[in-house]
Amino acid sequence: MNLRNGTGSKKDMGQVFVVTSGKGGVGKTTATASIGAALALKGKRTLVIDADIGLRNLDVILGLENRIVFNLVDVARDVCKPTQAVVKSKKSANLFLLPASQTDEKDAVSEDDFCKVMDLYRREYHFILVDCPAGIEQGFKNACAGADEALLVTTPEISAIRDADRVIGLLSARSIESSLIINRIDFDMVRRGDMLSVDDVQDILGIDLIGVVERDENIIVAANCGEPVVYNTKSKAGPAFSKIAARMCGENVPMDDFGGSGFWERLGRRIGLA
Amino acid sequence: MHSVFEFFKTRLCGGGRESKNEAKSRLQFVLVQDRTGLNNEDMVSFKCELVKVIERYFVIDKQGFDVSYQREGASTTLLINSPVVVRRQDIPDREVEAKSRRRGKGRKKAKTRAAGSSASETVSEKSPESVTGTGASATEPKVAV
Repeated sequence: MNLRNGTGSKKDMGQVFVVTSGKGGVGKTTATASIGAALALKGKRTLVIDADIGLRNLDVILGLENRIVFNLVDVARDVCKPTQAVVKSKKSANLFLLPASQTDEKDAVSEDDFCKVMDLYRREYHFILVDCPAGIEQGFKNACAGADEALLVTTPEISAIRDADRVIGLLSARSIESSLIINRIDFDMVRRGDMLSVDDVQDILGIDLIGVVERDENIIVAANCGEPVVYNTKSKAGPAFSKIAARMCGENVPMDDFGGSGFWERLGRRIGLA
Repeated sequence: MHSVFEFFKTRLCGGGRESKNEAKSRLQFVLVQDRTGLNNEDMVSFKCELVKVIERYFVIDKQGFDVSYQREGASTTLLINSPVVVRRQDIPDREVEAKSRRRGKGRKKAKTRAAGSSASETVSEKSPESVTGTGASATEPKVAV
């Protein structure tokens, strides 16, 4: 694990993952909330940080919007103690949120401020997930500043993949390794040949895959209720995010068989054709 | 056998043209421009100049000439595929020998600079006589702004 900005020994440091995508609306915030909740369910003390200053949303996805007193900008400016700004989840004793400021501008904090804030929390948590704003401007640079690794969220769409490719380049220039999350895939469309498959996306982007999340209406339902989808174990997306969390903990969770799982492929495999 | 199977699959499942293939080829095209920082016009002149250089030494099959790009981690590999019909006979032998001697020393690396990023080029080691289709590859560190 690459802990670049820390000041203590590796043993007592949390891992900081930036959740990023380039393009907006691909599911970064949902992924951050869901994976954070899944890590907490596994007993890992997890802090999710909303780095989208001025457009915060992680609080509503987690159902914690009524509990916010201080925020990330307050911590960076020493207005409050680091512990005062953190909001504890209603559902889990291990999940915590550091909200973004809703009234400040994106450039209210610098990259150095972010590194400082990460170092304040690193020792207290096993995992820190930073929900990065869309784009590749200051907000992105800030969110990456204290990160050890990246979770790159993309959908199997041409625009999302193009932006993801750009972000991979920017991350590798910062020596941050990225793992790929393919979100909102529709296997019926993949079978029809109308959506890029998991293999296609992986071929194009060329980074390690950490998880695949199917398109699932339960995501909207979960957001409506302010409860991360991982608590819904009957949904498609919930267990998919839990698997990503398990892989982040170093567990060997095999990937499902995504490619060619349609009727014809199955038949073909059975009779030895495909 | 596989293609027969694909044929039945597309016919019986009512699939005609698969739109994902279009997405894939368009993406690959646009990513080449994004990754290399070369626009379409630059790319065309790059290919023309490559052909000119290769033609000084070989008779090539221009139809099969192709430049493609492959992502490998943080870098993009430039794959130049140029089917060689025959080595040009009008090159003085001494010049050819000198070239193969240089190639024999191992991979030749040339540093170039373009658009604010560094690019290194690796030239194929194969001797001209044994080449039926040469592949030269160049890796370019991801352009980072």
